[in-house]
Amino acid sequence: MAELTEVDLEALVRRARAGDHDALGELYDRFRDRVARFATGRLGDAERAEDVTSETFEGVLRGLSAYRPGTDFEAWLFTIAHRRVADHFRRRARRREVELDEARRAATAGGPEDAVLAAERRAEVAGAFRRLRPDQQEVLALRVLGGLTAAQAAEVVGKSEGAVRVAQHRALLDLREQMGVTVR
Amino acid sequence: MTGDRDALVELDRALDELAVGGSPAARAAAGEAAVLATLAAELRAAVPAPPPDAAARGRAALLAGAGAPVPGGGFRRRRFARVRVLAAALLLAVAVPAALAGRALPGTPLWPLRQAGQQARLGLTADPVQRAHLRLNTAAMLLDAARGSGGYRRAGLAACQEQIQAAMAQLGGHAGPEAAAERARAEDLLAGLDSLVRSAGGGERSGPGPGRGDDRSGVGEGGSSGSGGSGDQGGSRGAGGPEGPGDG
Repeated sequence: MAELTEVDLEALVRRARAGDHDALGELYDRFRDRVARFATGRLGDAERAEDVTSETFEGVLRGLSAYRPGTDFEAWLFTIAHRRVADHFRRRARRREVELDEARRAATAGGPEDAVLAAERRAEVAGAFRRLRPDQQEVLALRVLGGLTAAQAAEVVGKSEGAVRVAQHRALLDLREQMGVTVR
Repeated sequence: MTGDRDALVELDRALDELAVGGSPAARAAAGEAAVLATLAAELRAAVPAPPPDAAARGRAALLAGAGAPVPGGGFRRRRFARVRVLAAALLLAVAVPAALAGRALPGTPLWPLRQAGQQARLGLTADPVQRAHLRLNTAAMLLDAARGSGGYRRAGLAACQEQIQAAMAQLGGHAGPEAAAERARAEDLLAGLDSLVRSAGGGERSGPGPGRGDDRSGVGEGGSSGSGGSGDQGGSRGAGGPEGPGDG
């Protein structure tokens, strides 16, 4: 799918706001995977992530009329996703989480040796990610999984761009430490 | 300090590169930024990509929500529709028998359900006078039904008698206008029961009586002796006495 310029994106959003279903579908196609990855990273569960993704786009549908043209659509979209994730965390606050089970199950499934090693490595990364503080998980989920810029992530979490840069650096250092990678 | 800021900026650029599908480590200078950017790429790879079929379902659901004609509807809509159907079925399964049980008579299949409902209501009612009131309502219903139909008469009269006796027992030690009114109502019902039994030839009163048939002396005796004699039982037997076998 070709990259969209800001102007193209703005036009697409305008069309979707005006009730153009094709435009809405295209917005979904363009951003769905990023939102789903972000949600999977935050929730550690593909099924719940799927729910959050659906809820996020339902939120987009409901909120499009209130969306102010000129504001960063991606930041707006991920702010909705961010809130839906927070809702899920609140709802399951009393339940014990099964963290990133999907990734772990995939990692330990049988297969050729290289594939198994790669899967184990992915599971190790996923496990270390889950051990980070929630705010660190959030900033990495937005930047690395959601693919937002530092400025967009800053808008979502309500911090300055500089603070996000520091936070993502610190989070990756901690991730490396969690994985026992030697600091060089 | 400048070095720190440079490292932050370098990492930030590498993450931007990753976001658009590039290789972050290739852009990042050697050293910490490259290691961290590679780790970020590994993290991205560690999170499973969403399944394509889920995307198709989600898209269809979104467009259906937007009012677009989508054949088959969306996953979530179908799921909610299924939940609604299940909820309606459950409601029917519970509400219909419960509604029917409200008019069930002894000897009919729904009678045990009605008794269970009555037990539940009694269990939720702490006031003995109110409990007596509930029992007398049941007794009145049974008596009316006995007048209208002979088919269930034996069991119905016995159950009616039990309800009245149990109500009398609960009213036994209580004074006040409400208790007096319920007691008068119980005596009226007993009189009606006696009248019905006599009109049927007198044999039925003793015949159906679970009180006589059972070994529960006092329950089957009826009449005014029931109210007096069961007064002391009211406190001790309450819900567990006459109601137990009668409602079980």
